[in-house]
Amino acid sequence: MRIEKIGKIILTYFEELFVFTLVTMFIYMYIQMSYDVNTAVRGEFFNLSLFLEGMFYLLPEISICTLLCTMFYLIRHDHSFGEFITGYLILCSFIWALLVPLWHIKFPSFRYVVLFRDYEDAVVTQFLTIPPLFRYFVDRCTIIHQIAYIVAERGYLGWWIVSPFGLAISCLVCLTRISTWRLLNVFIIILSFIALVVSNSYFFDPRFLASIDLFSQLGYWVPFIFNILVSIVCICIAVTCRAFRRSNPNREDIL
Amino acid sequence: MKQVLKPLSITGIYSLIVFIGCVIAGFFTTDVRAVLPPDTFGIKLLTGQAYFMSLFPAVLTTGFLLGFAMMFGTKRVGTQKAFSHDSFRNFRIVLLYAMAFAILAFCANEVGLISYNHAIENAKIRRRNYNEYIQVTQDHMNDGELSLAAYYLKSAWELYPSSPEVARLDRELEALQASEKIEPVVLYDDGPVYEEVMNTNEGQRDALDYLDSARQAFSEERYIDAHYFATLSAAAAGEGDANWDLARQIAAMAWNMLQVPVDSVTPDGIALFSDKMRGYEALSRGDIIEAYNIYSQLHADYPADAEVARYFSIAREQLESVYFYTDETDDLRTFESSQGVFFSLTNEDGSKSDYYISGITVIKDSSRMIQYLRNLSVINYDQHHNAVSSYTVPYAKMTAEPVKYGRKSRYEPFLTLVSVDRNDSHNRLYPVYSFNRDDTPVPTHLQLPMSYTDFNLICRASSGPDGLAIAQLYVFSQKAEDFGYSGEMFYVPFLHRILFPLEMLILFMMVGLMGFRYRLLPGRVFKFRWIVTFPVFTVILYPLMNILLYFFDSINLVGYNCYNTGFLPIAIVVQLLFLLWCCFLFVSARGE
Repeated sequence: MRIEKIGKIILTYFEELFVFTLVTMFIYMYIQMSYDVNTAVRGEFFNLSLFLEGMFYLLPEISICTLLCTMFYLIRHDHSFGEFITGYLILCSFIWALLVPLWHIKFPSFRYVVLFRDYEDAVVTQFLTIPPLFRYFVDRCTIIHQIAYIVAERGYLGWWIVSPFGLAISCLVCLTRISTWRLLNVFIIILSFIALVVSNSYFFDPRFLASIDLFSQLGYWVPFIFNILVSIVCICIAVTCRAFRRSNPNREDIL
Repeated sequence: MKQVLKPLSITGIYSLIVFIGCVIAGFFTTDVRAVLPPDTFGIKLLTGQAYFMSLFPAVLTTGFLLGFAMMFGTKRVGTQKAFSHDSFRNFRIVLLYAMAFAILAFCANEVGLISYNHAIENAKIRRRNYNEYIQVTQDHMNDGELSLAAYYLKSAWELYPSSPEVARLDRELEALQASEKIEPVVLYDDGPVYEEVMNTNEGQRDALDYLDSARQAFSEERYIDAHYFATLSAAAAGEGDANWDLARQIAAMAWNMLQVPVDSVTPDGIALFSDKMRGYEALSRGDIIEAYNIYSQLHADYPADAEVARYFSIAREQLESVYFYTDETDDLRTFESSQGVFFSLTNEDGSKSDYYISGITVIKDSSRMIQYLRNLSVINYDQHHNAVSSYTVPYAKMTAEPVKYGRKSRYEPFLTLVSVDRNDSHNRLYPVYSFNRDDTPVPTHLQLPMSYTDFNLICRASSGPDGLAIAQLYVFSQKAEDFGYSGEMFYVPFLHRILFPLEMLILFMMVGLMGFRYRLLPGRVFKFRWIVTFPVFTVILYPLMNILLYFFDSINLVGYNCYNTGFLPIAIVVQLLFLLWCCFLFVSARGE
């Protein structure tokens, strides 16, 4: 176990976090500004307050998405089990135990982030159509965003409700060694991440829970149980993959 | 060398599979109720191909990613150092591929998608027209207007010959026609008389030539011809010319001879001569309709008479130059190239006119292009934007006429607004005012102060920026405001489409970098079962690509709002910098 390899995992995460935050700030600013486009008035090309707003609104989301990049980094580089567990655990506990909950508790005013506004008559609707799948995904994410602030109102200890969600996302790292073809692993992780976020957005959505009798009785236990199950399945996959690779003379993976 | 071709072969095979898949999907998902049964098979094929065209950039991206992931899966790449000779060699290959693929994606969007969508839209228009014709036929049959019903039924039949509905209506119509005597429909009473100086299409002959013809006609006692040619000769010579006096003299002599009562043997001959004279007088006064009526009657009665034939053709030519025939518009609605065309033109004095045309049919004549405009409405405004007058005409015929502006000349749309019935020229269709504050006389012609090419551009642009080719889009975005359109409605889509290949290039470079980073490990063989997973990549890459393009588009929109047309060079520079950064990342990538 080498300490610099652990350090590299953590450092890469923060490098990516920096780049991602910057990119997201630009994108957020331009999407917001495109809504304010009034063709009769000459607009501005850079708006500092919107630029910074993007970071404050979306930093928890960015930090979670950047975790995916760490998984991709782990796909590309080999680590011993100890190095991986130590580095990844430090990262995940930083994100899920400190950054995300504290951000939500400290800055409750960032609760109402709206990426896409519903203006029928906005000039932007004549020029731009938001890709429908993107719109759908962002709408689902907005629900989770709201839930996070509702949970934050209960204080730090209230986070046990959503903590399995963090666990499930962190456990996606178990999928990094499914296939010998590393590119396939990347896409499997992206796909599972999207599926996990979308399904959680439904399980956290009170309207969805109310529509099914069993779920309406269980309430917040539904996402709790679901995410625990997902985490267990992920860990089982990782164990199976490892066993398969060990038993296989060519060191091939399952897929 | 074989390695280098890997991305190409993988993309090619994958595209083929997706293409077949799209065509099959097209067969099952097309809503055939939107088109006529004769178009069904074609529309299914077209829909499938249109699916493929919209997926094509994502398919290319997938092939690019997977191809390079495999190509880089060699030991040599695995030990590559940053900025080494090998990394530059790989970079060159990726860049060349990226450029070629970006151009392919651009062409698929600009040529493929647009033409497929156009063809699909046309098929849908045919269906709508057919439904409308059937409905109108039914209405006219109920109202007892059988000739109109027959006309619309014929239009419907042309679109869908084997239609059982048409056959049924045809039987019903025949039964009705047999039971009723059909009365001719009188559309309008008298209209305006158009004054026109006698002109001719006898060819460009000079004064002396005409004078010879006049002399010969006079000696053969064809006095009408003599007067006609002498008048032409005088007109061609002009006052003061040596031939002018002579021509006037012959004309006067011929006219005198015409006034002498003819000593014809038969009363029929006298009647023929006096009718000819009446027609000729009408022609000289410019009463073309009267002249046409007289000569068409005479031509029917005396088809062998050379003089009658000559003046009938002259009268017909002149009539056609001033009016057009109502029956020319008969079959036009079966295919209109554009519908709902609107534009407005501002005059130099600040007054303005709005034009609205329900449908336009283009007919390619042997020599010139003729367009028929259905339901042309014109609203005229004064300098203070108050509506002054408004009129509508059921059909107008448009040709291009050269107009000189100093040294330059251009073709301008020239509209003939009055049409006449070929058999009864008193039946006319002409502009009808819905209101007319200044009592402007009814116009018979209209010269639009715009170039003919602009008019055609507006016709295409009226259905939105998506139907225009990129060059037309640019040209129109520059002039849109002169014609009452908003410039940004056309310039922002233009920005999107012109920057598309550059954006795709950036995407391809990023994907190429990804292919390098997640390349197949050396010594690993590509497993056949991985092919099944290819669509998973497209499923993820397609929305990702659209999201990236959406981000670029929102930047373009904000940039346009800030810098207007000056944003294009800025956008190109910024995107090139971005591309350069991607290139840098690629060259600096290391192997294990």
